[in-house]
Amino acid sequence: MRVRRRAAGTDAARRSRARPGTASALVRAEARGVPWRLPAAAWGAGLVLAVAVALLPEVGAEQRLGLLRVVALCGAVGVAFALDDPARHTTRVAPVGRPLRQGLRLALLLPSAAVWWAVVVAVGRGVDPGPPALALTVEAAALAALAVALAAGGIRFSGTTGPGAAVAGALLALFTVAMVLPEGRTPFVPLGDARWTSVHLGWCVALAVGAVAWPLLAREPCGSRR
Amino acid sequence: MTLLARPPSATAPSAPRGAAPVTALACAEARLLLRHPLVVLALAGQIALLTRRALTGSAYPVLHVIDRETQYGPLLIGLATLIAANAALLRSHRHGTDAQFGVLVVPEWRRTSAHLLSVIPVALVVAALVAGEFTRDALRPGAVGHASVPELATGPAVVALLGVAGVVLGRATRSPLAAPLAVVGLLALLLGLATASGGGRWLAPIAFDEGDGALPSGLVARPAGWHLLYLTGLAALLGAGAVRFGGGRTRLVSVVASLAAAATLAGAVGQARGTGESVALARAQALSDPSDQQVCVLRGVVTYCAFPEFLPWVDEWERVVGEVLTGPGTPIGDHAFTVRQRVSVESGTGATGGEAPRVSPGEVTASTAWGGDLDLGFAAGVAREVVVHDVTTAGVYCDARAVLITWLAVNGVPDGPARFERTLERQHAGGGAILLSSGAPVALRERETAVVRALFDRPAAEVGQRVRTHWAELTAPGTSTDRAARLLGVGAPAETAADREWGCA
Repeated sequence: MRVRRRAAGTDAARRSRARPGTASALVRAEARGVPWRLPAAAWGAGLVLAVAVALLPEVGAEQRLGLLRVVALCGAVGVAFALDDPARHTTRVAPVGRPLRQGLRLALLLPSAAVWWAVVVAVGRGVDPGPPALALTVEAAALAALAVALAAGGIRFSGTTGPGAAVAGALLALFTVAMVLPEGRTPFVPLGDARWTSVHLGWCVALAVGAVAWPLLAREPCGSRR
Repeated sequence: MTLLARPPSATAPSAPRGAAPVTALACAEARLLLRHPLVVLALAGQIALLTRRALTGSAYPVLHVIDRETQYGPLLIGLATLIAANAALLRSHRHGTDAQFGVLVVPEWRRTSAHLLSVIPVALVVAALVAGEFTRDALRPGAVGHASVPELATGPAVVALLGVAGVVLGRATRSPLAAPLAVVGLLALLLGLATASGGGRWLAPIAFDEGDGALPSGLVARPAGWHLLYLTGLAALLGAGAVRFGGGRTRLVSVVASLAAAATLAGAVGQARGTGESVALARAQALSDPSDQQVCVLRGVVTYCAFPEFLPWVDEWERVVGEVLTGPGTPIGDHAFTVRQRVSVESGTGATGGEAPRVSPGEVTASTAWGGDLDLGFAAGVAREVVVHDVTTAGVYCDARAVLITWLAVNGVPDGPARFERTLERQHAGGGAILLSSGAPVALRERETAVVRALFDRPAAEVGQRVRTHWAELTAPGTSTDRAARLLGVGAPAETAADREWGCA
């Protein structure tokens, strides 16, 4: 048992010291592996909703904010599928570690997500008064970071090849719970609320926690079969 | 060889007839559905919320408002059921066992039927929760009004509809994104339609109607029955469609599909028709001049007029009126007046418009809500009638009368000073206070508030004695706040800048 563990440990150490050339060689493979259709569909739906919000005349500022938060949720649901990999059980024997493979996927996907969100914000700016773009961006980024961390956790602690659907469900549950919390406690603060700044600092913390959680959860467990 | 005498007729594999396999699969799937993490979370959250409400909820519920409030929780459980039912249907696809199911003797459409039926137990659990929630409220001693069965049945029907929608989505597409996107779409729909008006909003699973007060149940006129027909029809139509799509082209499925289509159409048309002319007229009348629809009872010198359903609350109003009239400061007299119940303009069910209510002199207004701190506002209305005999003034009294009205009102309710402070805390920090009396609100400035607070620190009997002694001067329009404070034995602070911004009566 001890021998096997040590062997697995050295294996992981060797993988994590992959040469820079390996990453560039892997980019194309990972780009093919990302299930692009799912994020694209989720983001497309989000964009349609954002355009509808901008075009509908009777939507008030408060309601617009709520609907743009749903758009941010669409973005996070799309990101949730970033780490889905039906070939997971065959690629685990590749000579590079999981952090590099997941990192490459995120490096490919997140810029697209950022561009999509920039378009959403630009569409939202088309109406007057525009939404609080910076605060909404922090919320959207925190939701996306949470999605990535949950997906990495799903892979780390189970043998699933596609954690995306479960992570999307968890995100929806969290979003709905946050939405129905009483006014003084919800993280989705209404416009002009006294808690606006403090709650958004909380969102920043959530973003930082999500960003730190991913590299921790992306590590391969030593001595495990997963 | 006698064993061979019987021909092996039943050994050929054929699709098993009867409902047994479908029922067995439905039972197994229902157990899994009820154990799905999201469904467990939603049910647990709802149970926790209901327990909290059962312990701390209003002691004076209006049953025809409570009935539609039972729908919010089931809506969230329905969203969880949608995802769970979809995940259950796609399980074989996720695990790569679709091909194995293909060789089973139970065809796909019957498995789909089983998945559709597996939603029913979740709806039954929700029905039990709704029944428990409503029973708890109906059993409260202060409960008034009449609930509508279709409103109560809407919650479980929404759960069934959304669960069926999850199964249908799974049959339509195998994408794991379909169910989450459907939920996102529903969330957007609910956020977007929450404030919409008109018949179209009834196409959503539930139609929100929130307001400050309640209308009498006869004037609510929500098309809840039609909406229930629409929801159940749509659920049956979607389910029958999925079964037919999967190859179940039996006569039963066709009949169910046709009936469901007719029911959905009838429900959609029925609910979009809006309220009738007679109801609109009755509402307008209830708003402007409700006396024709009310019953009056005389208790002592005070007449109480209320919509018949709300008569049980007369005892509560009488208690507050009695406390104010016999309080330490009120001089004993037989000042007769009327307490009349009025619906607020913002009452639910989208009943807006109509004339603004005309409040006649000598009439104190009671609202169609009771409980919590509402009795403080009502006491303020009674005290204003006792002090100035005029309930129509909307402005703020900037003199002794404001101090007197507030002090009498606060002494007319149990634990008055603490609740007065709570009312002030809830209001934004603009200085002064507004006691929400139905009808014209009783407002007072920072200066008068400070005098009233100082009076709370003195024994009520002593202040009451001084009030009784100087009653005529304190109720006279010209008596200043400084003079009132001196008469009552406390000090008055100077007028603040915020005070000068109030329009004095």
